[in-house]
Amino acid sequence: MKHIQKSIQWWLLLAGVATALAACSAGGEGIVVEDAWVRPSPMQAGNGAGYMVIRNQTGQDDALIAVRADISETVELHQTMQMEGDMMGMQPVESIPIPARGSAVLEPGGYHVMFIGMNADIQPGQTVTLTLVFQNAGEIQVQAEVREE
Amino acid sequence: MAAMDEPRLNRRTLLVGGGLVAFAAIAFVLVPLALMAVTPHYHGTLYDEPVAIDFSLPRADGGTFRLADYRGQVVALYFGYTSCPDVCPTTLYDLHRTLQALGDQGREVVVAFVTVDPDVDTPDRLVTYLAAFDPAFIGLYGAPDQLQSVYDRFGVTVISEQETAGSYRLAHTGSVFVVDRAGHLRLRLHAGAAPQDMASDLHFLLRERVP
Repeated sequence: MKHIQKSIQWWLLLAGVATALAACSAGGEGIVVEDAWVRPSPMQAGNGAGYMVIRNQTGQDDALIAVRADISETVELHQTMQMEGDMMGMQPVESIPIPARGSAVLEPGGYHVMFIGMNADIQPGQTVTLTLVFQNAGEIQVQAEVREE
Repeated sequence: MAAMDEPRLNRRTLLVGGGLVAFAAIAFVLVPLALMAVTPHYHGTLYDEPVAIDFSLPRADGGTFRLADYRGQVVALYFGYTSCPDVCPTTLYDLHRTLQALGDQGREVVVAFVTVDPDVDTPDRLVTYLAAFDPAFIGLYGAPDQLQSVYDRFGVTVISEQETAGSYRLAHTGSVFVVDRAGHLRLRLHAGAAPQDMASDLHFLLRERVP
């Protein structure tokens, strides 16, 4: 009897450890934003871009639908696309999809946040606040590092 | 007798076999490896027939840029505009990093940025813009028809997509065009190419000497 009890205890402990590990690897719930950064424009009132990795750790599809920031006159979501013959074009997008348990990568040459008419006093080394608006998750504020590359 | 011959035969078989293996190793492994080391492998696209190319445009920092004046050096040309937030800065930073990766050789590469937005990109704007990436980068501008003839020579396309008043977009060819030391248009580096790949390609062209 004692032997069986001990064995059950071991199994419970193992199950507990397994659950804890699973929870760790999932990294919790919700939307997680990593490595947000803004590349300023060298120009006065020029156009800059914002990049980041957005992880959706929920079981529901979501989408980035807007970004608010006081570092430029206008903020838009854009996508750079390579077209025929090495033509590079850019188009505004309504939203950037982030699949359930997936992620969206905003990076040079792909999806990006476009800051039109950036404030001249935004300099590399600074940190700026961006408010990301998601279809389901609502608003999330992130700190983005201003750097050139 | 037969018992004495056998080991000798075996030795000969071994010798012949070993020779064949050695031959195969040299012919099929070492020679191709050696050829690979000498023959440049380019990441970008080489022009089938390198053509002599020349043009002149006003320099943003004053004076005239005449491509032929850079004979003996390698010239990398990129076409873009200063309001471009993503592709142009990315390529210009990557070109800067490419030159850094080339070390001393990098000083033999001339980078010129030709505007595709002459209405907005004044000489002053171009100078300010390029200085942020690399003070050695040369900005080129000009009258629209003068620029158009240069775009045509390189096969560069520019499409304007007018949005609202303050916002506009230009789609443009994103390649970097490379002119070799002999003044021939030789290589096209593709948009988004990694700096180490561009450096490797430029290194092959820099290795060439003008006769």
